[in-house]
Amino acid sequence: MSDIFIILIIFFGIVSQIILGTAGIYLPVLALLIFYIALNFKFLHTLFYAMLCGIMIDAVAGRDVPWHIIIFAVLTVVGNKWASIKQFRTWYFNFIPGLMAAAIQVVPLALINFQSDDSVYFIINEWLPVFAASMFFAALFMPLAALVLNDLGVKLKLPPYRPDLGIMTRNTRRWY
Amino acid sequence: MPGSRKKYRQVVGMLAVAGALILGTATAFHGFGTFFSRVYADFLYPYLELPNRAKNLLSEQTMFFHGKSTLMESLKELQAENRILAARYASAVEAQFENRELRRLLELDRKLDFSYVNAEIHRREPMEWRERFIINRGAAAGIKVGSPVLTFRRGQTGQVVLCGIVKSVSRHTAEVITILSPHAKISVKLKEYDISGFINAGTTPPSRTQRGEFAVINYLPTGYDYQQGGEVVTGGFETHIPAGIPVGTFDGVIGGDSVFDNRLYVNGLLSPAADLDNIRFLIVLTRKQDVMVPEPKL
Repeated sequence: MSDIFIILIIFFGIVSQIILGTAGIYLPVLALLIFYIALNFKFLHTLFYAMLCGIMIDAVAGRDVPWHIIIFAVLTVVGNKWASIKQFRTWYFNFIPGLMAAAIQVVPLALINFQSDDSVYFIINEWLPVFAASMFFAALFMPLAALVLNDLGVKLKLPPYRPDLGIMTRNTRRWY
Repeated sequence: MPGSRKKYRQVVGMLAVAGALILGTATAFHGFGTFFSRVYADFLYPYLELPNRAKNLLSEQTMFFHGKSTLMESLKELQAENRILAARYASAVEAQFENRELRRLLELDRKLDFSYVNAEIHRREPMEWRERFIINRGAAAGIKVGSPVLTFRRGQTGQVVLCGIVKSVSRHTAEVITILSPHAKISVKLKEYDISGFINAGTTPPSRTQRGEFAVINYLPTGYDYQQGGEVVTGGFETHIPAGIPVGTFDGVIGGDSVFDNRLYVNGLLSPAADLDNIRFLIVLTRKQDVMVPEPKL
């Protein structure tokens, strides 16, 4: 059941990112959702799905080098570390990992796309708005996603996510 | 101590598995990539096409908000335009007959005809907005790899210009790379000087400046006083791309004139005629296997 839940989250992330992308809006929806999965599921379990998403997103974009595999692997590690910090478990604190996840996704992509003979104007005009919009969106989206998905998990009566960390048991699944 | 050792082993084991997983995935990326791109292209096609259909439906429904007189005026204008286009088509068919007859008399190979396929953008990636996009027509509509993709000239709707070429095709979709993509290598001709060059044939990537983005034309002959503003058209070197389609305007020569610079040929910049930021409708030219125009009666 947990796997179906994760696959549905990933499917929503990929489809919404593709539709928004076609409309010209770049928002790191999938990166944030992977971060959410990393917060709540075991490391290797998350890493498997992160790799899968990395391949899918790079295959859709037609990239020759699978940059998203590396980016999503980093997100999984950071998400796993963040989950162990007990002080920040309340849902509204998720804006901090949201900002981190957005930065981890956008900054490497900006550097990869930047060519040595590009002018500074390119960074200011093209990437600064993308970075600012992504950070703003992530700060809002991540707490909301955590709130909605945690509630959904409780309603679906999913098994405990992270019994090893002593959180997310059947009765104390909520982050708030 | 045994507890900390066990934890240490667990961490090392987990890192080893994670490393193997990342390496394995990266190695198998191309195989997985092909599989997933096929799933996207054909299996998810109806779902990803929904926003396009909704947009077109909404666009059609807005017609009802126009008054009868406005619609009548638009209809009259369209009918007039249709008559002009029909007349132009008739003269083009006549020229085609003549061309075929002359080719027959000169014993030249028969020139193959092109068919036109209308398409719309199906998917686009913000990171490669001006370099690459997916259209909603594929092999089922007769599109082939290398087919030229045309769109309207920037700020005009009367003239079509080259936008890019088809890189790969699936049953329902096709991937298009524009002339700003370093992978799009097309022969072009500077009309003013009647000389040929090749877009993106060298190692210099397309140039991005405050004035806009430019493709690079390589292998232009030396000894010409190149001026900005001349029209650049397709050269006709490729089998799938007919000659004479406008591509853009010449924006000057790049590179210095020092002893370290290449003296065999020069490179120049090309400003695309297509407005690559705002594309909706596209036309794909596909070469017909058989000429559809009937044989002239002699």
